[in-house]
Amino acid sequence: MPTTRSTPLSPADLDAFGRELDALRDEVLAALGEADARYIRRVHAAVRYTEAGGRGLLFLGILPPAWLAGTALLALSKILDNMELGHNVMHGQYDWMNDPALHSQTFEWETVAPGDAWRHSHNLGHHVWTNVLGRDRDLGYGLLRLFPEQPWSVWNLPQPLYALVLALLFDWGVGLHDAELDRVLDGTRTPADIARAAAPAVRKGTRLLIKEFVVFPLLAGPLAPWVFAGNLVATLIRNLWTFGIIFCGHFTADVEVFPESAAESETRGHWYLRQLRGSSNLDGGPLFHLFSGNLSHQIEHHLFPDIPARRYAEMAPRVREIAARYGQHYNTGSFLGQFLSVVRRIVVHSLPSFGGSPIPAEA
Amino acid sequence: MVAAPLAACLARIVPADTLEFWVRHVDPLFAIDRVLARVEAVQPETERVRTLVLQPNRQWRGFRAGQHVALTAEVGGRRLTRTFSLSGADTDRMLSVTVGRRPGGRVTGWLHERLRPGTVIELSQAQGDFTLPEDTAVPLLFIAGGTGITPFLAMLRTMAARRERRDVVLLCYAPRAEELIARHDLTALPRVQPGLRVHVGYTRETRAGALAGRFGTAHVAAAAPDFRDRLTFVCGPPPLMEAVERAWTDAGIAARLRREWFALPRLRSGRGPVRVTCTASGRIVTVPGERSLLEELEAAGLRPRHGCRAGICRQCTCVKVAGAVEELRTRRPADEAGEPIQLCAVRAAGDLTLAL
Repeated sequence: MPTTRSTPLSPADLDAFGRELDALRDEVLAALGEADARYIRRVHAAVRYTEAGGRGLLFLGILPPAWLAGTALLALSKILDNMELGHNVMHGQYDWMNDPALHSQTFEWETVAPGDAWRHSHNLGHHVWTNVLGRDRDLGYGLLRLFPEQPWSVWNLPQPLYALVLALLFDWGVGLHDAELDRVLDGTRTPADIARAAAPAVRKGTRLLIKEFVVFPLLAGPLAPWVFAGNLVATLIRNLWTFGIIFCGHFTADVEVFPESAAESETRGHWYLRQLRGSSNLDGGPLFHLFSGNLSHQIEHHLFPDIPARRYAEMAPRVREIAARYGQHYNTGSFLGQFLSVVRRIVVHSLPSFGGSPIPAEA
Repeated sequence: MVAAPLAACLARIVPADTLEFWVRHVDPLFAIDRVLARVEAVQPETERVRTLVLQPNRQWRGFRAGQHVALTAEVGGRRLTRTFSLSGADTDRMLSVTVGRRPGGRVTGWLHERLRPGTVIELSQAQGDFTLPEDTAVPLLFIAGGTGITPFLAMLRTMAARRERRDVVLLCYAPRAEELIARHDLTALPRVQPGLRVHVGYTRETRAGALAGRFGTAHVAAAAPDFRDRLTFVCGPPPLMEAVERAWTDAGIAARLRREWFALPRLRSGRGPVRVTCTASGRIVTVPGERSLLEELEAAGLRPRHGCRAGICRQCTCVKVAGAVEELRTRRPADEAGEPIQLCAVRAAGDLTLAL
């Protein structure tokens, strides 16, 4: 089975490839300015206005149109806070502004994952070690087998069900990700280690549960059930949406995984190449990109994780052109098509892989 | 006056910046613990100098004439901070900051070209001990060059507002008459302050009744022959500061000299040992400034948090309180106060203060 749709590159080609992407990066970094600052502040304001509007309307939730609109606004607010604002700010995309309110090391989002733990597992574990088997714990979240290169066990059989539960509880999934729950099973960590590691996420998650499902419903008095239901549905929408977007970033049909040896003594060009081959994009309009936190431009995000995400749309055609010149496959498609290919992986790899031991792709 | 206790109560449950966001819809200057100020007016002084009149919020704790503030403005989306002396009387309701435009200056250029009344900027509390002695009987000599006159304007205006009698000689320099800041005040103030004598020197033109050329001991002899008995304050460009220091050292009265410097951090052209002050740990180390700051801090015995060591993961990002670094890959300098830097991706290019 072919593991790559891309041409192998010589070391000289790889260097040139890296230099071209570096030049693109420097060009965009030099152009950052007022428009980018205004944009992220408007996103921040939109998170607050939609939250206030949504919660306000849910207090009138006994009227069906108010309940629907309130739930939708609250879901939008949570999605924006999670993706275009929180994820991107915590990547350091706006550190150049010197604004303490948008500083990557101190920003905190309204989701279960505590900022500090996430900054570590995501920015280091996932972005540096993208799609490296045994290193990038985002590959299946320690729960799912998505590539034939991953070992199979009988526990993988019901994994479509795990995926559904993970999607519904995705905020907790991401929050507890760092605690490495799965390592109890193989005995590398004790339950006490896990409990200690999970404590900050459990504390923060509990606070959010109380806020969403106790405080706000109680504030609504007799309308508590409508507020409770609205908050629940908004949270679930946010979870399903973020799960969908994020799983389409690295688990679509044509993405590649790498053995640990591929990441050893990697050059910059090599690192760029691994990011390109390990990520996949989603086609869509400006609103789709906004609500996906521009993770629909997963390739550009992985090549340039600290460039403001609103710039990915203008960088994408140039990345695509560079990739084409170096014979590299640029993995993009519709949300539905890409998502179905992810579902296919989840189902197919719940079963053992036959046809000999597959060899991981060498980038 | 219900607002303050209400805000204090809300601040316990709502994050500070969320609270500020909502209250600013009503009060644009609202901040929990920072000084924000609205630009009320922009007054021209000379062609390249203007005075900003500022209304600070309630967090402002006042100042003593001669002190300075760090002013933070957002220029091209980046918050940049510069230090300026306050130039109004410390009894005024509004604050005045008098700003000269520096050639190529990002902040002063913005303050001159883009700043409009109504803009909100951020200030630090007043800082510095370049202030008048308590004892009004001490005779004083002020030496000012260019915009270095601003702390003295604050002192003179304060003395006038308080009807304080002091024996003061002001010796101030400008390139030409039309570049003299607060010309009107310099003529008017001696009329209401019998103890004040003003001597103006022009470095690029000669005028009757004015001193000519750059600062020298002859000027001091003419303006204040009793300078040895006076407490002297000097503020101006580095050549003036150095000339005055030399003269006072030669006369053996360096202890009677008070100085106010406004120097930007300079990027060193060459490489050499650099002093790094870490504010969180209180450690001060010396590093060579050749390899990445992360490697050099580790070699000096510090253990900063880090991750990929390749400029990607931002685990080592920390706030550079002051000083200059250079990005290793692009060789771009980063010399703004308070900006976050990636320790693994820069080298020290001058003495540094880090929030580490």
